[in-house]
Amino acid sequence: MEITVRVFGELTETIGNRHTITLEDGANIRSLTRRVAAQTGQRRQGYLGEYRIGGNELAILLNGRNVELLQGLETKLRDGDEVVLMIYTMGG
Amino acid sequence: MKGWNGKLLRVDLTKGTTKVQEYSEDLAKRFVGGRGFAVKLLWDELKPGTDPLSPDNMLIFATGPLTGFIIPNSGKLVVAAKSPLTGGYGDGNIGTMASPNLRKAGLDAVVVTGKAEKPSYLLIDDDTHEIRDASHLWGLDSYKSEAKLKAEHGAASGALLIGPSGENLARIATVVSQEGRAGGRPGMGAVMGSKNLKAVVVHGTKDLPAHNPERLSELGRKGFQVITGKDNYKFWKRQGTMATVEWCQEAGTLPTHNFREGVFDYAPDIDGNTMAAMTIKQRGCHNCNMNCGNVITDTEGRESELDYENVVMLGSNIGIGDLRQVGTLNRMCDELGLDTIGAGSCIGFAMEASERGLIKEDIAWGDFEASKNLLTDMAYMRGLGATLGLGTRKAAEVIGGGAPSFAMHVKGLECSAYDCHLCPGMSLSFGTSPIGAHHKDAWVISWEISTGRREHYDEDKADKVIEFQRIRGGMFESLVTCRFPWIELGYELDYYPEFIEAATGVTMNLDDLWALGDRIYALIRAFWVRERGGAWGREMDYPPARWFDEPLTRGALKGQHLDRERYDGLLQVYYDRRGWDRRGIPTRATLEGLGLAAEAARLAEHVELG
Repeated sequence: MEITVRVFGELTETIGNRHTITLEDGANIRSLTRRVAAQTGQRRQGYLGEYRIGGNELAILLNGRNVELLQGLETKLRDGDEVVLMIYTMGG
Repeated sequence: MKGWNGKLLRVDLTKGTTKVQEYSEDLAKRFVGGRGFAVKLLWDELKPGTDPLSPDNMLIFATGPLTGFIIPNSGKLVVAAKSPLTGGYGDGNIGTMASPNLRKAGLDAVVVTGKAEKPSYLLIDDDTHEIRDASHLWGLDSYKSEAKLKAEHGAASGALLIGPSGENLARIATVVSQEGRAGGRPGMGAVMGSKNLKAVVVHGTKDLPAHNPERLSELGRKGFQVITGKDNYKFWKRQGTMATVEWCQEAGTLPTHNFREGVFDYAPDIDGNTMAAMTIKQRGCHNCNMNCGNVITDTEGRESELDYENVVMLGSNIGIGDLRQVGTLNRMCDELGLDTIGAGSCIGFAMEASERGLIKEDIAWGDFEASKNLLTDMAYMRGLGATLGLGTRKAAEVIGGGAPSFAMHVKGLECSAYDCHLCPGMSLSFGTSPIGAHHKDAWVISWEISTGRREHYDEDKADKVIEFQRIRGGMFESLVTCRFPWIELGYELDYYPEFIEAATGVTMNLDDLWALGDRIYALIRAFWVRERGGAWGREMDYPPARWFDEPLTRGALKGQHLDRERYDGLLQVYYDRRGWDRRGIPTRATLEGLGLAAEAARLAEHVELG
């Protein structure tokens, strides 16, 4: 299945702003983020740039819903899903 | 006292007099500066029930003990008064060269009372304090006025001004400076206008004594280095606060069509990426290396300094998806001296009233020309603008017919640019902000969304609101340094007690600074309660009804809305933590514990204390 990943905020500095990721059926958010980390050459395990995968600072949205409101990193993916990775800091 | 000059300037415009007054060490140590000074002076000296636009209101400009030293992001001052928009405590901070100049003129604050017979400006040039004729400036926009004043008094001076909005007493008029800096959303510009005071020009050349100048200089130098070395500095420099458009859209919190929805079809056309491709230069305050003002060229070829709040309130909130058009509206607000947030909210309110047939004017969502006309009309208080210029709360009362249900304000101050249909924590922040619905104090929305518990009303949301109110609304607003190095780049708070000690010789740890925040919050609340003659209840701390009663109809958050009962529960947690009673009034014990026993006794003359 194919998943579209869009990246917002300063994370684009380290991993770019858009990826299309092909995954085996039954994959979840955890396997997706691992694949993104591998494809973008992240050295620190469990991190994208400075941000821990599953940590509070890195938000992961699946079709607009924060995965924390779903099953977190275990949330299952389906073909055509859109995942957003973003850092919520800049603002006011 | 070192660090503090220990002096404030009293100006009586009715009598035409100025007088330098020494203030007590107690005021310096217990209230520090900026907002702390402002609320203490207003509490002590303003007669309860004073008409905010009468000569008796006090207009205060206050710096802090770090102002004027070479310390990161310290080029600001606080402007405060009783608000003609809300009827309660009003203030704002503004980046201006008037701030370091005031300190180098040997002063920490200026308190203006009375009303000049004719348009005037105040000149402070070291020990010269003069009230001068401003007939040649009255009626001019803030840019032209400032240019004339700078030509006369030199480029090194700083100026605080009003535009036509302040002159005509628009209740959403701000004080402006340097073509794009503005402060005092709750109508501080109208207070200035009511005094016939067009501008305050400040020039100072004196040495500013510090307790330990070498240490302070070393700390300051290091501070600038730490900030530029932060990982996210590069990205911040590119987009500044405008990066927020993108994440608010994704999170469904981007105010759209008068806060009816949280997503906007044309958000990518007004976001930080679009802006970054158009930016021609950046501007910032004195002593800042995080320039947050990104300048683009607007539809008329003029420069417009953008940031998040302005762009959203004058963009998606009124249905405009063209950044250059937004730029024009933003620049017009700065010239006219209108609050960009309040103005965007008033226009959105008018568009919705038009759609509902509650007003005769035909103003469609996204109508750029109509928006320009409304800005001018609000500034000159004419036509529909004369009603809108009173702010959405009052305008809704005048228009009637259900209009109050879509007037987006708390306590009369229009909401900043965050839709809170599914943000109980940020709603609590707007609800309990000491000036009405502003984001300056507890900007918890980023934290709230990133925790992934948005729809929850957990107690830690009240704790987070209080934590931010202490840091941002207490410490930063009293030191009068900018919150951005900390909130945006993670510049450590531990530096601030070190700055204070090096500047003043006074030891204040972070706990002392949190107590300062609590003291200020309690006194501001006491001021509000006193002004309302004790008529105060917890409903004053509720966010706009729309977020409870009208679910979102679009986007991933479709169907979502706040829950009134659960919000009320969260509010109670907040009161319990603060030591305020069920009405939201600090108890006598709380006031006394914060060193406000005398204030408690005076408050008890107006309301029974719990």
